[in-house]
Amino acid sequence: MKSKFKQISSIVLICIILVLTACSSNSGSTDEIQIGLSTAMTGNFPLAGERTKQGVELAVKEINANGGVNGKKIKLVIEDDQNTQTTAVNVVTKLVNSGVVAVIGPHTSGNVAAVSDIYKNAKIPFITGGASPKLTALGNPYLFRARPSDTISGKVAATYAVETLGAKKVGISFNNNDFGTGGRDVIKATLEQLGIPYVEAGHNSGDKDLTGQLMQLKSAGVDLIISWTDDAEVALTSRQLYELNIKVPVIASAGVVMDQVLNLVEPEYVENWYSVTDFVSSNSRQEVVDFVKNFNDEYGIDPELYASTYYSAMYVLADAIERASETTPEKIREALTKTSELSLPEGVYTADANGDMLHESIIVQIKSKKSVVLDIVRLGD
Amino acid sequence: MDLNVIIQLIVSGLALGFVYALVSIEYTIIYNSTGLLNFSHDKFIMIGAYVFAGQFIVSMGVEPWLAVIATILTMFIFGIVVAKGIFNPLRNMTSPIFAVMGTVFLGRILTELARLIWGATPFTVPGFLKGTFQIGEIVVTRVSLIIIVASILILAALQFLLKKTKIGKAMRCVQQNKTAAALMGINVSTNINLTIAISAIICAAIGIMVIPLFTIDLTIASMIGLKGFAAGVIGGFGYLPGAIVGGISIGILENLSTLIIPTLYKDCIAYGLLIIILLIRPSGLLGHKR
Repeated sequence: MKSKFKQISSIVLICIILVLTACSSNSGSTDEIQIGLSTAMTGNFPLAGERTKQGVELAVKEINANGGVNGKKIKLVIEDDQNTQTTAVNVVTKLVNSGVVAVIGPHTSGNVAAVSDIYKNAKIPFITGGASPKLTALGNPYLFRARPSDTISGKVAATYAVETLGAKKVGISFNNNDFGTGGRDVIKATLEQLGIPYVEAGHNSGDKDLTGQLMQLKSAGVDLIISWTDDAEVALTSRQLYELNIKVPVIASAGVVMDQVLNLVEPEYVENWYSVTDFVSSNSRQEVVDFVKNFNDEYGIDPELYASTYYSAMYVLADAIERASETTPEKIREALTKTSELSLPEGVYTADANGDMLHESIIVQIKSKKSVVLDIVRLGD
Repeated sequence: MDLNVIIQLIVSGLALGFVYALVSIEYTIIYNSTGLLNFSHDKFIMIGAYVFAGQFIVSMGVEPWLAVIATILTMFIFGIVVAKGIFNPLRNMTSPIFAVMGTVFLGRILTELARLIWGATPFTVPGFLKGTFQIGEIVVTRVSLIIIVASILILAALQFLLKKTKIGKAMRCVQQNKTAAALMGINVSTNINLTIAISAIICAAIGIMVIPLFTIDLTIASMIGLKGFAAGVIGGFGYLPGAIVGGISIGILENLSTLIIPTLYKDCIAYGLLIIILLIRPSGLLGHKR
C-alpha cells in the first residue's frame, strides 16, 4: 500500500517538477557558477539533509565572501531527494538539465547507485558521501567520493580490533543493506588475511529485536564485536548488548558518534565503544577547530559527519573549478581527478583512479557520549 | 545446545509475543463488532506512542504515570471521534471496500499528522522503564516483565468487561447479530463507538509499552502491526484466546528460529507459519468456529 502512495506522490512530484522546469528558464548569468545539491530535506532522513544543506551553504557563503571562484560567485540549486531512489532519480534528472556544472549528492549508497548512470550520460561530475565499496564497481568516471570508502573504514576497524585490541574471535553484526553488507565483506576479507576466526549475524533494516542475533554471537564466544549498521539499528544493538550483559569491546561504523544516534541511547549503553569514523567535532586539527567555530557562529550547534562531509565536498569542488582551464563539467571532472593534498575538516583529499578522495579514518572512543580521538589512520593505496 | 541460550530466547520472545497478542486483540474486537478490518491499527499504536512520549513527556514534561492516564483518555476520545467519523458512517455502505479505503487513508493522515506535529526525527524517552533483572544466566528486562504483566491485566479486564458487565454483554450481542441487538433495545452505533474507543486504548497501551524496546518513529508499529495480524489468523481469526495463543507462538518461535536458520530470515517465521496454518488448519490453532 505504502509503495502505491509513493508512486502516486512521485507522479505528482514529476508533474510539479515538469511545470517548474518549464517555468524557470535557466539562463545562468555569466558571473555565477551553478552547483546542484541533492539531499534529503524530508523523508526518513531529514536531519542528515538539514546538516548537509547547512554545511554546503556555509562553505558557499565563505567562498563567495572571499571573492568566489575565479571571480565568479557560486550559486546553489538545492533539490530534496527524500532519501528515496525514485525521487533521487527525478531530482538528479532535473539538476543535470538545469545548467549546473557539478552536483553534490545524493547521499546514501543505494541512491548513488540509482542515479549514477544519469550523471554518466549527462557527463556531469558529482561528489557523494555514500560509503559502500560497491560504488567503485560502478566504474563511473564522474563519481567522486568525499568520504572514505568502507574498504578503508572496514579494513581499519578489523585491523584495529586484532592488532590493537587483541581480538582472538570477532563477531560481525551487520545490516543486510548495501552499506552493511559492503562493510561486512571488507571486514571478513581483512580478518581472513589476519587469520582471525569470526562469526557473522545479520539483521534487516527496521528490525526491532536482535536477541537472537546477539545471543548467537555470545554463545559463539566472541571477544569483540564489530557492528556495521544504520542509525536506528545501532541504537538497538547497543541497548540489547547492554541488557543481555554481553560485555565485550565493540567497534561500530561511523553513525554511532552522531548526536542523532546518541540521543536515542543511554550513556552506559555505548560507554567505551570504539568507532571508525571520518569526522568528530572534538578533533584538534586546526581545520576542524575553525570549521566547528564557524558552524557554531552560523547555526548555534556543533557540526557532525554530514555537515563536515558536504562542507568539505563543496571546497573540493571549488578547488577543482579554480584549477580547471574552463568552467565546464568535463574540465571540472578532469580537475577533480587531479585533486591532491587538499586539507579540509573532513580530512586530506587526494583523488585516486576510482574517484575516492579520502583515504583516512579516525578511530574514536565514546566516553560519556563524547567522542575522544584515539588515532588517525591513513592508508596508502 | 546451550539451555541458557534457549531460555533467554524464550523469555525475550514471550514479551514480544504478548505485544503481538495485544495487537491481534485490538483489531479483532473491532472486526467482531463492525465486521470491518481496521487497516490503520498500527497507526493508532504509533499515535499512542507519540501522544504519550512526544506530547505529554517531552513537550509538556508530565510525570510518566500521569502521562499514561492522560494518553489513555486522549486515545479514548480519539477512538470515539474515529468511530463517529469513519466506522459508523462507512460500515453501512453498499460495499465494505469504502470502509477499508477509509481506514487506509486514515492511516496516512495520522502518519503525516504525527510528522507535522512532532517532527520526523526519531527520539526516545530517556530512562523510561529501564533496567534488567538477572536470574542465574538469564537476563529479564524490566520492560519485558511490565509488558507481560500489563498484557495479562488488560486481557483479564477485557474478559471481565465482555463476560460480566452489561456493556460487555451488549457488545457481544452486537457481534452476533446487529438487527436482533437493535430490536432488544441496544444502541448499536454507541456500542460500536465504545468498542473502537476500547481498541484505541489498547493501541495506546501497546504504543507506550514498546517505547523502551523500539525507537519512536513514524514506523514504530509497522512490523508488530503485521505480525499481530498474522497472530490472529494463526490462533483463529475473530477469537480472542486464539489471538493470545497465536501471538505468543509467533514471538517465541521466531526467536528460537535463530538457532536453526540464518538470523536474516527471522521475520519469515510469522508469515511462513501463517501460510502453513492456512493450508492445513484454516480455522486456526485453536480451531474455534464462530
